[in-house]
This record gives sequence, structure tokens and C-alpha cells, in this order.
Amino acid sequence: MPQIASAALLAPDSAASDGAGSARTLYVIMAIVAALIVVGVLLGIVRALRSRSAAAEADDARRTRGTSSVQLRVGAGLGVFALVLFVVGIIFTGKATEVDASANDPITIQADAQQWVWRYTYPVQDPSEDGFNDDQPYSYQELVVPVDTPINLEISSIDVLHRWSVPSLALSADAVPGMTNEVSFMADEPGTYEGASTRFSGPGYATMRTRVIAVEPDQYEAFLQDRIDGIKAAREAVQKRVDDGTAPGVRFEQK
Amino acid sequence: MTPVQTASHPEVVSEQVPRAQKGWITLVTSAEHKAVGRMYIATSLVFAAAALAEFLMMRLQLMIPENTLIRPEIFDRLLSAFGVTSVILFALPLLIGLMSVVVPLQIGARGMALPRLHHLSYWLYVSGGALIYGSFLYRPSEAGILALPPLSSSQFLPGAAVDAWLTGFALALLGFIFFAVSMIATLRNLRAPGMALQRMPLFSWAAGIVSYTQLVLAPVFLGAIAMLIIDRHYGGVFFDSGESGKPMLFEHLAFIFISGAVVSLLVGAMAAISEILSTFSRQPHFGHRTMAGSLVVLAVLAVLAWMQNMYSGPIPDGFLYFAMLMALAAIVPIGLILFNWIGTMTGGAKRRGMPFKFALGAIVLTLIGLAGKLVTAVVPVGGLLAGSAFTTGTSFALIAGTGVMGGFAALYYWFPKLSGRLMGDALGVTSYWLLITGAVVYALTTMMAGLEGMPVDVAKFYGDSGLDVLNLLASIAAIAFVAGFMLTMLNAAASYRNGVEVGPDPWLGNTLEWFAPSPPPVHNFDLVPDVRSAEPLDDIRDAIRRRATRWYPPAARTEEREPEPVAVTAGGAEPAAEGDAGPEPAPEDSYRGENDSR
Repeated sequence: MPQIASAALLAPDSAASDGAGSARTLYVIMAIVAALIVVGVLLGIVRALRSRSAAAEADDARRTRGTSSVQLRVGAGLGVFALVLFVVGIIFTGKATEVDASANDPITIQADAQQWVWRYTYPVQDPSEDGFNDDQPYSYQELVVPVDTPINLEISSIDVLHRWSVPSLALSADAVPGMTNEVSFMADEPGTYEGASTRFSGPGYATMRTRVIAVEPDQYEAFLQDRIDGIKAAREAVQKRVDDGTAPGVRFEQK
Repeated sequence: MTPVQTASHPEVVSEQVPRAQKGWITLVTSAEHKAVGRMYIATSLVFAAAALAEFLMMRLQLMIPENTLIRPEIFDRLLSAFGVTSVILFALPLLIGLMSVVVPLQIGARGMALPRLHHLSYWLYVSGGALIYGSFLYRPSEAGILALPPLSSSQFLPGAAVDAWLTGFALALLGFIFFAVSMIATLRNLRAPGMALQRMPLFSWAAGIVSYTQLVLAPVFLGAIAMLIIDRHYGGVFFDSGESGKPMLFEHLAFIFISGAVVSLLVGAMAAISEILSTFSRQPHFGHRTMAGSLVVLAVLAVLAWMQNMYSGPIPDGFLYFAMLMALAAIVPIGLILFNWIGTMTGGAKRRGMPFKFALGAIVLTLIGLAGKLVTAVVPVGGLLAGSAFTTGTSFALIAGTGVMGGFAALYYWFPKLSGRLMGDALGVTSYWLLITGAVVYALTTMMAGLEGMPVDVAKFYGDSGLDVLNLLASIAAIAFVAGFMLTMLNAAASYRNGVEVGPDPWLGNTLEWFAPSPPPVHNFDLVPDVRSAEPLDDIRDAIRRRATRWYPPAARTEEREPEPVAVTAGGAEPAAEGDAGPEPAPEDSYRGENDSR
């Protein structure tokens, strides 16, 4: 089903996770249903317009009114239709938000929005002896995840409202200060998936894009190690300058 | 319009002849419902011009990728002003103005109940709009369409701009509440003898729904505005997440009100369209009671489904399912209304006219908007597309379909009751095609851009996102839409004084407003007829026809036939005889023969 409209501009980009795939499938179903309704109603209107005639202008006898049984039957039909869509919607909501638990251990990553950048904080792989979390790797704008691993994103904001939206991977989720909004997804294939913040957040809003890069698990480990090393190196460099007394502001304190 | 009609009631004793005032002074100070309605309509069109300018500037900025024409701060100001202008200062007041003029005429009343309150509501609305646009003199709000906190809190936007925006919004809402009170009092107390609620014309019925919606929901957002102002200035923590406040609360309250506002437009436009389709097919409504009930149910369901705009929020699934159920249940009333429209037209008379054209355009555009809303009404799709330009496109189609096309259809239809003249056809047709083409193309291209990853409300888009062609097309369509909109405004302004003069009933309508002269005198009717069905004017025509075709002995036919009594032919100041050369055809022409088979 998802392949039907993928070539055209009539559906979101093809999905790279099961959840987004289900949502996209439901989109295609709903779009076809809605288009059929629009076309059907328009055809009905055209047919009604054609049935109008100049002869009826003077003919006062032509006064049709619907009986209440007709109205009841149409209303009941529409009600059943609405209920069917409701059930389909609930079934697909489950499909779109569930993640296959049989795969690798899930990873919980924190996504914090601020004006106008996303900060992703990865779980500590190798906590230091005192359990101090300073080594926790993080990245801005780009989220790197391993494929075939359930990812739980804990989305929050430190200032105004934002919205995390990477349609190829998951449903959108609001970032609300003081609250945590969870999104789960599992990337099927390595690749780069574009996303954006899609909630108005001030002058820099249009530049607040994000990107998810799905890589093989070993590459992910290497990425984390690289981030940890980089952070360590940076901290050591700062410490060295503090010790040397060349860091700005440090000399003043030593006096 | 005669300038001497200054008193809203007949002067019994007068020591001197009242001094003739200038026309505009009468218009501005009069609490007479048609004067207030005219001012509502004229002011809403002035604000529409502002909204069009903002819309045009935003679309010019979004015409090419990474455009630097407008700075993001300026874009945000345009966006914030556009959001409130398009719905609160244009579309709703246009509908309210039309209702102010038409509803008392439709129900056979001599005016609004509580006319001073009605008058006050207009000035509150104007001062609200003036306050919002007054902030353009120093620095307008940059808080976005809904001014959601925390962005609109004093921490992020400390200036007075947001206060002006909030206070102006609140004043307009207060005006709408007063209008609602006045309208409900009118509908409940001033109906003509015999006009039971189920005989009330659909547009008046819709006026009741819109009024109750505003009466119940405007205070919701007024409360939210008050809380936000307390937060901003008096140390409140309603929406401050750092102090156990809830930023989501404002969003809920805002969407409850916005759902009510949009469904008010939808209900009003659907009712106006129903009347136009019925008149231009010369058929009664296919199911008057079904339509009236459907409009009520639609308003209730659409408001209860407010969370269909918040599927991406941190809200438990159960609530989202509730919103989805309410949103999908709205299929039933909407489907019934569409079905009844088709039923009304089928087998009717073939009449054409600008109101009918605009009504059909409104149906097409509204249908596109509703279809888009249907697609995003299910939770996963709504979550997938939340915040994408897909929602911009559907909201545009819905608001432009109801507020602009539906509002214009009603304006073309009831223009004779505003000015005694028709709006011109030539400008109307050009305007119609520009509007409908522009709106449909803009809505569809914006929806497609949303599917390709274009977010809402952005001040620019990037060249690498493959959105160039769609945005260019959308901008061109937007220009066509703006041009068409301005042509109809021009048409209204030109036709107000120079249009073709018409008599009381240019379209052969079925409801009582066509019984009054065009334009109606201050007291509306010299004589209010008894109402015996939902189509009182049809009954009157029937009575005329029965008299005209009454059997006379051959000898008496030529000389002894007396002139018809004035009371049943046409109301108002100018009693028209049956052979009147007005647009209402002489009964001999239209109703030949005795086919009174109803």
C-alpha cells in the first residue's frame, strides 16, 4: 500500500520505521477515502444541477421533500461509516506507536528543545567509578541512533513550546516545558532522515531543523566513544588552561 | 436610503421637524440593526484588506527559498496580526454583520432586542481591532497566531505588544458576547406571529447557534487571556512551568475557542448556502428539520473535538480517542447536510446568479477543507502531520470556503437588503474565478508542501528541501486569491450606490426578509404577515395565485373584478399591486392554472 502514492507529492516521504509506515499507510487509506468522498459529493452536485430544468421554474407541483425515513437511513449509514473509521483509527494508533520489543535492548535518549536548537543526551555507556555523569555524551541538531534498536525519545523543552517532527521515523511530539513527551521508534535501515521543529517558537523558528542519522550498532558505539573522548579532551584542555592560569578570568581569582 | 429617517421608532409628538443629519452621522450613531450590521460588514472588509496585505507579504517572502525580503521578526509580526485579523476581525464580524441585518428581517421583527447592547458590541469589536493595529505604531506582537505561552510570557516577549494583542482580542470577544446576548433575546422574543422555532429560516437558526457558541466559548478564551495577563504583570503562575503552572492549559483553552469560532463560520456559511440553493432551485429545503438539527449537532461535536488539533501533545491516548470519536462523528451531520443540499437542488428550477455561483464555490472549497480535516482526524495521521503545512492548507480551505466564499455568497444574496441594489455581475464573475482558482490551488499546493516536510508558520524554507515549485505555485495562487477578494470588495463598494436598483424580492425567496422593501425602512415592515410554514413568502404567493385564478362568471370577468387587497401582495412602504413591474413576476405569468397540489 505505501508504494502506491510514493512517487507523487500526495503522501509523506516513505517511512523508515514500522510505526511511521503504519501511520503512512493509514494516511494513504484516509486520503483515498476523503478523495472518493469529495469526488462523490461533487458528482452528486453535478447530477443535481443537471436535473434542474427551466420547466420546473413555473411548475409549482415539483416540490420534493425528504421523508424522515430517508434522512434516518442516510444518517445511520454515515454513523456506521464514522464508527468504522474510528475503529480503524484505534487499530492503527496501536500499530503506529508500538515498537517491536524482540529486537535489541531499547535505548532511552533525552531530547531537549531550546530556542532554536535540539540537544540530544545519550545514556551513559560506561559510568565512571563515582557514578558522576559528566561523561554523558550529547549532540546538537543531529541525533545518531543504531538501527534495529528500539529508541525511546524523552522530549522536553527548557524554554518555549517546540515540536519534534521526523515524519519518516515517528509521529510528531510536542516539547512542553515541565513535561516529558515520549516517542518510540525503531529505524529499519541506515540513512539520514530530515526533520524539523514544527511549532512556532520565535524569530529563529524556521532555522530549527533536526536530522536523525541511523547507523549500524558498531558505528553507533564508535560515535558515542568519539563524543566521550571529545568531551574529555575538551575538559582536559580547559583544566590545563585553568591550571596554567591562562584561562580567562582564572588569573583574577588566583590573586 | 433616505437621510431623514433618524428616529428608530415613529415620532408621535414633535414640536418641530427633526433636523436632517448627515448620512454618516446617522449610520455611526444609530442603534438600528441594519445600520449596525452595515458597519459590521464595512469594518470587517476594512480589516480584510489588512489581512490580505499581510497574507500577500508573507507569501511573497515564501515565494523563493531562503528569501531575505522580510526579516523573521517582521514576518512574525505579520503572522501574529494575520491570525487574529482573518478570523476574529474579518470572517466572524462579516457573518455577524450579515446576521444583524438579515435575521430580524427573516423572523419578521422590527429590530433587534437590546439594540444599544448590539450597538455597543460593534464599538467593542472596532476598539479591539484598533488596539491590535494601534500596536503597529510602535511594535506589534510577535507571539504567533495563538500567542501560546511560554513564548507570550513576559520572560520571552516583555513588551507591551502582546498586551495590546491580548486586550484587543478580549475587547472583540466581549463585543461578540454582547452581540450573542442581543441576538438570542431577539430570536427568543421578537419572532413574527406563527413563527415557531421549527419554522425559523435556517440562517436565523444558525444565528442562534453562532450566538450560543460565542456566549459559551468566548468567555473561555477571555479567561485564558485574563490568566495570561495576570501571569505577565501580576506575578501569576498559571502557565509558568517552573512554578507548577501548566503551559498546556492555555493551548486547550485556545483550541476550545478556536474550534468554536471555526465551527461558527461553518454553521453560518452552511445555513446561508442552504437558503441560496433552495431559492435558486425554487424548492423548499429537502429536510428543514434534519438540517436544523444537523447544524446544532455539528457545532457541539466540533467543539468537543478540540483536541484533534493537539494529537502531538503529551496527552493520554484515551483523551485523543475521545477527540477522534467526536471529530469522526461530525461526519454524520456534515454528510446529512450535503445530502440535503443535493436533495434540495434535484429536480428544481434552473436559475443562475452570483449568489448561487459563490455558494457552489463555497461548497467545493469547504469540502476540500473538510476532507483534509477528515484525513488528520485519525490519531496517527494527525500525529504524523501535526505542525506541517498540510494543516495550514486544510485550515485555509475551511476558513476561506466558509468565511470568504460563503460570506461573499451571503453578501451577494442579501446585498439588496443592505442597499436596495444588486452587486454587479461582471466584476463578480471575474472575482469568483480568481477566488476559487486561487483558493483551491493554494490549498492543494500548501497541503502537498506539508506532506513534503514544510512546517507551519515558517518565515523561510530551505532550497534543499524540494519545496521550491510548490511554494512558488502557492504564492502565485495566493496573489490570484487576493486579487479576486479585492474585486469583490470593489464590487460591493461600487454597487452600494450605483448598482442596479431592485424591488423587495429579486430572487423570489421563500423567507420573510424578501417581504420587506429593499432597502427596508427603519421599522422593517408596515405589516408583519402571519407565518404558517417555513416558507411564508411561498404561502403569500400561493394566496395571490388563488385569488388571481378564482373563477368569475364570464360577464363579471372584465368589469367587476376588484383590485386585490393590499395586505397580501407585498409589504413595506410601497404597496405593490399585482401588476407591478418589479422583479417579482406578476402572478398571471408564473402561476397559470390550478396546480395547488401541495
